[in-house]
Amino acid sequence: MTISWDDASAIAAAVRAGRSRAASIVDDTLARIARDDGRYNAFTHVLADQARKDAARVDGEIAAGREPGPLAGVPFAVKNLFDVAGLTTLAGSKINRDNPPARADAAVVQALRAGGAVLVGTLNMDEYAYGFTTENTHYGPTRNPYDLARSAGGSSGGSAAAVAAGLVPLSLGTDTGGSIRVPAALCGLFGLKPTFGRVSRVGTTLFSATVDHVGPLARSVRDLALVYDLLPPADAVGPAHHTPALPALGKGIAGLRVALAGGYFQEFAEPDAVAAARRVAEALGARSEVTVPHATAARAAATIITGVEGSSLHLASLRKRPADFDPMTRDRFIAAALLPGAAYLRAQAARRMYRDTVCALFADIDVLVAPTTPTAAPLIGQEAVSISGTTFPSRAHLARFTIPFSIIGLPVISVPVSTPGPLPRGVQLVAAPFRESLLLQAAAFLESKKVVGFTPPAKLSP
Amino acid sequence: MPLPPDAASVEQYVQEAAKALGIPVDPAWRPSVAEHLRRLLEASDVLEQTGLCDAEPVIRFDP
Repeated sequence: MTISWDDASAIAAAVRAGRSRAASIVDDTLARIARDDGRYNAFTHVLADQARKDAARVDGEIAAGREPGPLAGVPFAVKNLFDVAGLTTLAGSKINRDNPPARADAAVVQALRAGGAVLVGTLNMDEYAYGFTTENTHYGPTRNPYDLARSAGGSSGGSAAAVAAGLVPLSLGTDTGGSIRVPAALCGLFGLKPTFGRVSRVGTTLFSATVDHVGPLARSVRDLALVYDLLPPADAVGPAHHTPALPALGKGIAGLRVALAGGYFQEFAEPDAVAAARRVAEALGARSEVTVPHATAARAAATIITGVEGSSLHLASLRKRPADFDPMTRDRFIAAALLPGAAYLRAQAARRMYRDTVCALFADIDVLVAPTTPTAAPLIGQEAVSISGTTFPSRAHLARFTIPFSIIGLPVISVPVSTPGPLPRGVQLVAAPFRESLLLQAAAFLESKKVVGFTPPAKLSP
Repeated sequence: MPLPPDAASVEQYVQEAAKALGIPVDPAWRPSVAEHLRRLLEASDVLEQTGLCDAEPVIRFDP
């Protein structure tokens, strides 16, 4: 059995045209997961029976001449913090195993299934999404398809590994400080973190309520756009803020004002990371380099806000059964629970000032370019990384460049860039709130020029 | 911040504050918790030094 590297758009087109049957695509997908996932540990649950029923329903719709949806017959999987009817929502934890099964699918899962996509399983993650490497004590580490000794990134590590390994063409994840963009970058994928509030979080286990985002990971820009256009808006935002992305692809970059992020976003990073961002910026015709003020402070504010909000959600479990947490998660949650409230209020105040300052930059530019991570994928178990003579905790350092954008809710797409080494890298394209279609337009241009794109892991290449 | 900055004092604060909050902290976890708390306090110090903390806090974030 060979791996199909067709993207979701190609699969859906084949199913809709009657050239492929959803049932056979899903059978192949389930067989690949059964054969290969032992290497990656991306899946925590496979929904074989449900997937086969859904695929049969899609084939039935087509046979009856009815509209099967834009994602007809496309297999997908979701981070295991999204509710899936009939399954207990683990959120990467042991504690949640005792919860009853979810009664309904999360809103985003419902939307993709309504669009004809077939849910085949749920995916590994850092416990309660509090991490960047998916080294989960309870369910084991998720391994990077480009090097099995290395992390797939996190917290949506299963979501990235499953797509990069060719097990499914697309997945859903969440991003608080980089949890879509970091794994997308380390696994050579496209990952979209939409504007805060753009996508419904109904049926999603939260980590940090004022920072969490939902978004897709995929092997092509058109797949991100296809899924993005289907994702339901949060109630408070409404559809008025959604500009369809698919029609924007192919428009090119004429008139686009692009800048490279300098200063903080070029410091304490491997030279290849900065070079990749520079290459993308040049391909987009960047004419300037801008400094994002207070990025260090933004990261400090985010550390406090996410820790305190996360510990608040889990305070009852911290009191009753702290030994059942992943130790790395537990110790940070307890520390944040003990932080004086004034620190949280200061962090929120700083966040507001920082947001106003950064949003003002977008009066003069449309797209800001920055590396996604300072390093390529770290080894599983790696504690520290040394760059420019300074040693950093390797896990936290992965989010150096992603946190300053998610803490103020800006839309960001991470695009995969080929580098001289065997490990992929990502570059972030950042825009003003609700300008996702502009980001996808720029990413599609880069993909068409082969500046960015998914390259299958060498050992898996056809 | 009202917390003392030295490691031993932070660890003692962890022991007492966790007890008051009803979180049972195993003595083996205490140094790690204290280290994470120290980092959070450092982060708060970073913010104070920027002067960014004068705005009205926004708890319900709206970009």
